[in-house]
Amino acid sequence: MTTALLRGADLIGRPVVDASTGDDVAEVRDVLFDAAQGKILGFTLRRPGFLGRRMKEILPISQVLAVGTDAVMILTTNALTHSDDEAMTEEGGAIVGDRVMTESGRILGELKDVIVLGGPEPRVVAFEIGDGPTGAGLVPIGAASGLSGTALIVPDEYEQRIKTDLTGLAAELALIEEDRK
Amino acid sequence: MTRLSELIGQDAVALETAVTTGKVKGIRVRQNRITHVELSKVTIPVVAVRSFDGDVLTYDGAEIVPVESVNTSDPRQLLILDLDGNRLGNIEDLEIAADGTIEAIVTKGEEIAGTRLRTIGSFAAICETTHD
Repeated sequence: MTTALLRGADLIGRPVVDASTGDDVAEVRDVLFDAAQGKILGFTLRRPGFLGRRMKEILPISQVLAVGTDAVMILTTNALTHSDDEAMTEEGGAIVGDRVMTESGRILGELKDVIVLGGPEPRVVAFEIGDGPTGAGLVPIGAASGLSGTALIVPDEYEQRIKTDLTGLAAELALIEEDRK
Repeated sequence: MTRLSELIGQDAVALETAVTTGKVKGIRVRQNRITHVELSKVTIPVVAVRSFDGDVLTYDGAEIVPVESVNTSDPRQLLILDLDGNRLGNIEDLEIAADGTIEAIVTKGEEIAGTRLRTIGSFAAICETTHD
């Protein structure tokens, strides 16, 4: 099966399923993202069901078995932990609204969402931007991306790689991977 | 071989009394095997069941210890997920061998080999991922 590209916003509300029992133990409340490293740190959680209350436990990405189109999978409920790490709190992790710019300082837009490559090693592969000179688009995250103040930086040539849909983005990511080899 | 759709609602007969004690209401599955069967008034371990292949479910009533805290269900229409968190379909039926082994999961589009089944829970049936 082809690994899916998923919007971060689409992960909100996704069930967290214990693979050892087949029970849903939580729902994703928010995605915690380290902008400097372009990595998913984990998820904050809420109880399953309508109006589910926020849970004290979080799900670190290291404990995730896989992120799929229909569920986030864990091996057992031992994967849920408490965390005092500031980066793992919502205040430390969320960066929607940050500016996205090229290394040469050209502003591409504001960060609206992250695009995640699902599967057993989920990771952020692109940003969804808006309010920029080219309108809405999907920008590959790139190897040179980093954080400067409140901006996310991508290589200059990535301005030409902006796509408008996930299918186009998938093709562009494949090309980037080929270029790296 | 029988199907879950035939098993659910089947009469259950205790062998030591030859009395019909109720009907089959649900099952519990771990790995690809039935571990418990819920009857009208009691849940019994699979070791008490003589066979799943008959017209009625016969069981050794004298041997069982009623299990009160085991979660059982009729899993038809339950979501099927693989270990990557992707949907494979919904359970339309199960093919069950005489000893309670799940031979196959029947969905609308295909059959999933029972050997891929890891568990059936309250939210989903979990199957091993295939990499085509």
